[in-house]
Amino acid sequence: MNRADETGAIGDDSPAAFSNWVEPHWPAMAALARRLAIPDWEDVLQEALGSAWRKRTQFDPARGSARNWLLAITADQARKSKRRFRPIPVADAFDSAAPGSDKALELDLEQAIARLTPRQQLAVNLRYFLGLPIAELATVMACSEGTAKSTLADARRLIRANLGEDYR
Amino acid sequence: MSTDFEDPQLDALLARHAITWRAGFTPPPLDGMLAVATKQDAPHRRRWLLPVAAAVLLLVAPLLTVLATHRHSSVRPSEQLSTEPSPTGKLTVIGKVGWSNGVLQADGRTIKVEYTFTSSLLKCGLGMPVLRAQVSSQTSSSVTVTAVAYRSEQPLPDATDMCSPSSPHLGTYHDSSTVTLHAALGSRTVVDGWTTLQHPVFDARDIPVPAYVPAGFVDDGVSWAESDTKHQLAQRAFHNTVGQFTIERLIYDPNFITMALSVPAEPVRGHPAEYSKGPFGEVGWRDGKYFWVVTQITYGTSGKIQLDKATLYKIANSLP
Repeated sequence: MNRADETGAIGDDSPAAFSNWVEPHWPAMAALARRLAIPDWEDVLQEALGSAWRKRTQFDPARGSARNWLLAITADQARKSKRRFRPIPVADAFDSAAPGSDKALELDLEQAIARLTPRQQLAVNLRYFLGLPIAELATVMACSEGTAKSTLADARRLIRANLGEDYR
Repeated sequence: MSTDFEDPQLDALLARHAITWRAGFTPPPLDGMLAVATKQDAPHRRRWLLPVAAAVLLLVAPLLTVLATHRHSSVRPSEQLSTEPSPTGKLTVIGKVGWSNGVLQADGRTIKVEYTFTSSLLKCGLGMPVLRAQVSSQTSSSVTVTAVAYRSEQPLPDATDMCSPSSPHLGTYHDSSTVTLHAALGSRTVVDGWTTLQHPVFDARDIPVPAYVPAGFVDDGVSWAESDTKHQLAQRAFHNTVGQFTIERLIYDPNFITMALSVPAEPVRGHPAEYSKGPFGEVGWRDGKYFWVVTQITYGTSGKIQLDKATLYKIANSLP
C-alpha cells in the first residue's frame, strides 16, 4: 500500500483526508471532464471520483503527481463514456454567432477541436485548457514526451487546416 | 502560454479561447460528489448512475438503431450523381471527405470506412448526412478508397432530442460505408483518395466472434480507432432490443492506471481476470500483450442487468 506521508500524499484513509487531497485538483478534473465528455461530463466526473476513491491505495507519489493521477483517471472515464455512448454532442448554440465575431471564432475553434481524434483532443485540452507542460501531459496520456509532442503537433496542424485562412 | 511548437499565432488563439472558456466554467461542488463516491461499496460503481445511464441510453437507443441501419448500408455510390436514389430519398453531394478507421471484414475483401460529421453538417432542419465510399483504383500494391458525404432527405433523429429547443447541443454523428474489392486485400496498402493518406486497416478477424452469443443478439461488427496507436482499442459489438454487449481488445499497458477493473475474479481462458458489476458489468483479462474486456449495457430503466456475471464469463470463455 502506497499511503504517502509527504506533500501530495493522501494522508489517512478517511473521506475527509481524501477530500483535502483531491480538492486542489478538483477544478482541473472537472474542467477535463467537461471538455472531454459533453454532455454526460458530470457522470464521468462522478465516476472518476469514485474510481479515485476506490483506487486511492494504488496511488504512488513516486510515479507521478496527484494531479496527473487524477487527470488520467478522469481521461480514462471519459474514454469509457465515449465508447459506450458514441454520439457526443459538441458545440453550444453554434448558429448564434455572427461571422467574424469572437463567438464565431470560438465556435470554429471548438468545431476544429471536435474534429480531432480522441487522443488529439485530450492532448489539446490538457495543454491549453489545463495548462499542463509536455512532461505532465505525457504522464497523463501514458506515453513518451515525444509521442505527446507529435500528437499535439498533429492536432495543431489539423486545427489550423480546419480553421482555414480566416483566423489569420 | 509558452509552447514547444512553431505556431505562436495558433497558440495565442487557443490560449485566449481557453482563458475565456475557463472563466465561464464553474466546477460542481466536490462535497456532494464525494459523498456519493465514498458511500458506495468498493467494487461497485455508484448506484445512482444506473437510472441516469439507463435514461441516457433510452434516449440514445433510437439513434443507435438509425446508425446501425446506416452502417449496414452497402449501396455503391457514383460520384457523378448529385442525387442518388436511396432508402432515405435523394442524396445531395456535400463533398469528398477524409475517411478513417477502416476495417477489413471477415471475407478479406470488404472494407468498411468511417467519417465523423460534426455540427457544421448537423444543423437542425437539414437532412441527415450520409457517407458513401467507392474504390477509386486498385493495383497490385494498393487500393484507393474515396468517400463522399451526402445530405439525405431524412431528418435528423428527433428521438434523440438533439434538435429540441431545450437542448443546447448537437452531436457528432458517425456514419460508415463499405466497399468490396475485386480480390482479397492481402498485403496491399489502403489509401484515402481525397487526402491521399495511407491508412492502417484493422482486420475484423482479430476480434473473433465468440462461440457463445446469447439468444437474440445481433453482431454489429468490429470498429476501432486508428488514432489510438498506443492502445489500439478495437471492439466487436452485439445488440438486442434492450441493450448490447461488446468485446474489446487493447494493448495492455501497466502504466495505464485505470485499465484494470480492480476486482480480481475467476480466470478467463486460464488468465487472471477482473470483474466489475455496477450498472454495466464487465469482465477483463490479460492475454499476452492484449487486455480484453467483455462489457454489457442494458437500455431502459428497469435497472436489471440482462447479462449477468456467469453469462459474461460464458461469452469470454467461448472466444476461439
